[in-house]
Amino acid sequence: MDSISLQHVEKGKYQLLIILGLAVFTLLSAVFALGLGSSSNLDMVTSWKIVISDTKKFFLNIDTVADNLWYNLTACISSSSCEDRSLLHGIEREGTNIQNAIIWDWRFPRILTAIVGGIALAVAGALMQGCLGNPLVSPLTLGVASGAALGAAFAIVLGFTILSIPELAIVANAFFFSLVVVTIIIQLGKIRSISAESYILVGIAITFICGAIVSTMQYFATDAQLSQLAHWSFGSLSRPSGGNVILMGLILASLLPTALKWSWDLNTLSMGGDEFAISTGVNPSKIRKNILIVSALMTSIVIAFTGLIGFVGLAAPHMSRLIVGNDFRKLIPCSGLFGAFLMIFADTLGRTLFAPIVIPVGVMLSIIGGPFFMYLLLRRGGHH
Amino acid sequence: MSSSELILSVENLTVGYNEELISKINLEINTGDVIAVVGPSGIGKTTLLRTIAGLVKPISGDIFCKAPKRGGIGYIPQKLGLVRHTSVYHNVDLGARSGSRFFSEPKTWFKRRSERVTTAVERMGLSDKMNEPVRRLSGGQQRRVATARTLAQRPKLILADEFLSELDEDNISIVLDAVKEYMAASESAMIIVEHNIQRATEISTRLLQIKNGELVEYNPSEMKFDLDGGLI
Ligand SMILES: Nc1ncnc2c1ncn2[C@@H]1O[C@H](COP(=O)(O)OP(=O)(O)OP(=O)(O)O)[C@@H](O)[C@H]1O
Ligand SMILES: [Mg+2]
Repeated sequence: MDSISLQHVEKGKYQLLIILGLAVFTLLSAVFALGLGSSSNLDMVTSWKIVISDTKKFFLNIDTVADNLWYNLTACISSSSCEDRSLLHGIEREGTNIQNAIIWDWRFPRILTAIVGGIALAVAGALMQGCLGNPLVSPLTLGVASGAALGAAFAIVLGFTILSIPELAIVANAFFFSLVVVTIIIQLGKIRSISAESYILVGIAITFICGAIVSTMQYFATDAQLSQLAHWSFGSLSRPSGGNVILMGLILASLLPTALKWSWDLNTLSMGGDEFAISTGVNPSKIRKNILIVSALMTSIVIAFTGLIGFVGLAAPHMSRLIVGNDFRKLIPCSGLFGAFLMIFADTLGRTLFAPIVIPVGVMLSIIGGPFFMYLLLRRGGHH
Repeated sequence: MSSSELILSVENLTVGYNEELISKINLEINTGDVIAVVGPSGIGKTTLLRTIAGLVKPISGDIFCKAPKRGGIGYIPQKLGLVRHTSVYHNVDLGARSGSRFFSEPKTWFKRRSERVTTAVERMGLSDKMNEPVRRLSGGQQRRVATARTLAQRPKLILADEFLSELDEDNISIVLDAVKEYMAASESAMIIVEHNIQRATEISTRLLQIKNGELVEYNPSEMKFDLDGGLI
């Protein structure tokens, strides 16, 4: 019960500053990453010039931007012969068309995905570790991700899809199947004698079951299907389009406030368990169920678009805990920022290190993040 | 109290862990009710309270609670569950925090919260211990901190598990007065688990005894005792 003590209250201001610093740092690394790449058409200085001047123009000509947005929303929906306009359409811009395209159509959505996905997965991880009282839990533990993988396999191998739009078929399948897993979790909450451990164990069982079904399908799949499936399972940030990212961002933005609202309740849960929580007026089983649903939703919306990315959700909360301690009011925002930073860092490294070969972010994260994570934990262990 | 309304209704409830402890529980609890549950040790009194609080799921049957979802149920555990290394204030504040809504009046939230804490601690006669770490208090004082925490939460239904044990007569009347005052002001109800049957009849409006795995209801004013305090 000594996780939250008076010392933490005194350290609070200092920690808030760190979180603020981390936010600024993450933002800067996002801008930096926008300028990094392997294209011979574009060096770093030019791309920063374009970024800065376009951002300035965006805010100076906000009327035109709004017009273009309105045009995209209305004209393009009502008539089929219309082309999507870029938001800066009709404004004179820095750089060539191809340079603009590289930055705004290719790198920008990717980095935005890194931020949104990083925040979502890391926050989901922090929430789940807190409400299940287990540091080994990550967003993939509950079986949501394996549900998504099963959905993707159904689409790729069997051609069984929920949505008949080709570009979104796999995404929709992955999301739908992970929702099935979320439903199972909700139903679990109603069962007698469900404890934190049984949530984890059932999650592991679901993972095995889904894994077995996917393996069976792989056994009968063609080579092309196999490679597509393998590609899906390497989490990658190149898949979501700008529109997808905005959708992900909106869903995340609607779920985050609830997560923050429950941060105090999570504190009481992690301080002394269920009986302690109820004696301070917090209903533990209700909180646990709600938090699991929210974090499972956050996870599934991201991995449906990106594929499996596991490491952020496990590592970011632990790294944040080393800085801000166990107070979830700080741990949740800090984990989110850490997650975003880790994703940007790993993805930028992955696409520049062996350019033009792009290493998927999920792989990159585990390769560089794993040893770093081990170092951090072992170093802390030495201090005890 | 002008009119009493239903707070908790229990239908055909069976509670227990691996085996049934108490079954066929049917209860309707209204505001103003003080229900005492008595029975020998190990019969399932705490289990019944834990089930109503939602810590243990019922084996069968239904519980309908009209208290607000957040902070509507106050639970004073038999084993107290205090944070031992922090102050009395901090512990009582944990209850005040879940019972007061930040978004209803963000500006006065901190003030309202600390008012709740000071009032509750004063009622329990612990004002001079406000900033003392809980581990330095006596058993009876710690029990009063747990009660203060629940009063600061201002729940609609209080579940109190042996909350008068370890207290002397003076302190028992301090605690009971404070709880009665709170109940009159807030139109709430209370379920008390009490091993002392005589005291249970004195403080309750309804008495439930656990017999042969079922609840039997008595009217406390018609109770008679033999010389040992046993029920006739
Ligand atoms: N967590 C648990 N898991 C399984 N069995 C339990 C658990 N807690 C209590 N029991 C059993 O349930 C029975 C009833 O326990 P309970 O705590 O409800 O008794 P009680 O009536 O409150 O007794 P006391 O007056 O001594 O506090 C006991 O036989 C006990 O062994
Ligand atoms: Mg007991």
